[in-house]
Amino acid sequence: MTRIDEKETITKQNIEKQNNEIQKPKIRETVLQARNLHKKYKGFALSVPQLSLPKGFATALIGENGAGKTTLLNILTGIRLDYKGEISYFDRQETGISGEVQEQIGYTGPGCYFLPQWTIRQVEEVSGLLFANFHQDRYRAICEELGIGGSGMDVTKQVKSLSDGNRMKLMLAAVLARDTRLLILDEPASPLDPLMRDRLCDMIREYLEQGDGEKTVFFSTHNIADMENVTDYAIILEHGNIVEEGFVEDLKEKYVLVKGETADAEQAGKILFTMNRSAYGFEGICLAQNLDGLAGMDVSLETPSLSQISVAVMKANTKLAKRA
Amino acid sequence: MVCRMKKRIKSYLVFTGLWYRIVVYLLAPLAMVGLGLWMEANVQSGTGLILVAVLLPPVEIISDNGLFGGIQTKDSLRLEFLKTSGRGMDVLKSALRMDLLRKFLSALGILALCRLAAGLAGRWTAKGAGAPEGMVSASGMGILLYFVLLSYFVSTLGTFLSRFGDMLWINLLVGYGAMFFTAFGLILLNLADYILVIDILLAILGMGISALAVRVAMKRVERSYYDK
Repeated sequence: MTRIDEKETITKQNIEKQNNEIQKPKIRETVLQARNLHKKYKGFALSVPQLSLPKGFATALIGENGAGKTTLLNILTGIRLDYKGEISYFDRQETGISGEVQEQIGYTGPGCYFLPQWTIRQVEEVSGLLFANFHQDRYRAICEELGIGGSGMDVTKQVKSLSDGNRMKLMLAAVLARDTRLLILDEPASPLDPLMRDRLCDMIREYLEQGDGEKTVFFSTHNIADMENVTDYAIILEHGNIVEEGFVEDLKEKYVLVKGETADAEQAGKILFTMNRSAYGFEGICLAQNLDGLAGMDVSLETPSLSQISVAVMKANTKLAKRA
Repeated sequence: MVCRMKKRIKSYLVFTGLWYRIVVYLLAPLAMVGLGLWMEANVQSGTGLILVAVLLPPVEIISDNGLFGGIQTKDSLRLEFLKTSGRGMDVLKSALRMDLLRKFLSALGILALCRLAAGLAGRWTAKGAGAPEGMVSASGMGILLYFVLLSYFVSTLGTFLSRFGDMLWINLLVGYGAMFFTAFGLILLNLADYILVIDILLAILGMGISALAVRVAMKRVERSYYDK
C-alpha cells in the first residue's frame, strides 16, 4: 500500500468514526432555522438537513471554493428561491422569506452587487428607496470613516471606479446604515487589506454589542485566521453538506493539536483526524476523545486555532485531497 | 399621488448614469431639436419633423444599451441588491415604466417643437408673421400625434427587441432597422383623412408593446430567482 493510500484509509476510518460522533450543538435561541434544504445544480447538490444560527452571535461559514457557501447565503437572503426545504426567520411562525423579513436582513455579496454605473450617492438613494430602515446620515458617516470616496468623500465616484476593497466597504456602509437584526455577509474579508479586516471585526463586534443579544451576524470566509477573533460559532461546509459545526470554544475542546516525533507518526496517523509530516516530526488534529490512543507516544498537545480545526476538517472531507 | 410619482421618478433615475443623463436628457434632445429647426428653416417645411421622427427611434434604441441593455437575456442584469429587498421588483417595474413614459414625453416634446417650427416656417414663407396656421387645428394635432406615436411605437418595439441581447451592436442593428421601419411607416401620411383612426391604432400598438416590454423584462428578472 502506498503512503497516500495508507493515509486515505486512515483518514476514511477516522471520518466515519467522526461522522458517527458529530452531534448537533445545542443552541438556546436561534435567529434562523432551516430544515431539509436542498438545491441542485449540474454536478453539485447542496443538502442541509438542519441549520440553526445562534441568536446574538457571529457565525462563520467556512468551506473550500465550490462548497456551496454562496448558494446557501443566497437562499437565506432570498436571492435564490428555487430550493426545497423550509426556512424560518427570527421568531416568526411562518416559513419562507418576505419583504418584511428582508427589511431585517442586511446582505453584502460578491461581484456585481451594485450596478457599475451607480455613484456613491446613487447607492444612498437606491438604499433609501429599497429599505425603510435606511439612515442617510449614518451611511455618509460610515463612508467617510472608511474613506470610500477618497479623502474629500467624493459622492459622485462610480462603483465601477472603486477598487474591490472599496466596493466591499461601500456594501458594508449600505447595510450598516440600516436597522437590521441579521447581517449575512458573503466573503466580506476577502477584498479587504489586513487593517480593514481588523476594522471589519470591530464593526461586527460593535453591531452585535449594539443589538444587546438581539442582533446576529452570519458571514462566509476563507480568511479564518483574520476573522477568528470575531467568530463565536462556526459551520464548516463541504460539497454542499455541513461536516462540522459548533461554538468555537467547544470545537477547541473537541479537537486537540498534536505534535510528535517522526518515529510515532505512523502509529499516531491511525488516531489523528488529519496529519502533516515533515522532516522534524508530525503535526495533526485529533479528536480529544481519542487522545487515549496516543498513550505511550512522545507527543505535545496544544489547543488548535479555528483555522487549524477548519483546515483539518476540510482536508478530511475534501474531494481535492483525495484526488491528489 | 405626488409622493408616489416622485418615488417612481427616483426609481427610474437610480438606473441612469451621469453620461446617460447628459446624452439622453440633454444632448440628444438638443441635437434633435436643433437639426429639426435647421431643416425647417433651410430645407423645406415638414422635412425637419420627418427627419427627427425617423432619427428618434435609433437614438432611443442605442442609448437603451446603457440603461436596461441585456435585461431580457438569460444572464440578466445582476440585480442582487434589488433582490435583497421586498421592494426591489417594484422599484425595477417603476423604472421600466418611467423609462417608457420618458420616451413618450421626449418624442412629444421634440416633435412638437419641430412641428411648431414647421408651422412657423410655412406661415412665414406663405403669409408673413402671425400665428402658425394649422398648429391648433384637429388635423394638425392629429398629424403631430401621428409622428409622436409612430416614433414612440418604433422606439419601444426596437428597445424591446434589442434587450434580448446585451451587446451594443444588437442595439445598433435594431436601431438601423427601426429607422427604415419608421420611414416606411410615414407612408401612412398619405391617408391623412383617416389620421385619427391611424393615431388610435398606433396608440393601441404603443400601449401593447409598452406592456409587453415591461412584462417580459420583469418576467426575465423574476426568473433569475429560479436559475431559469
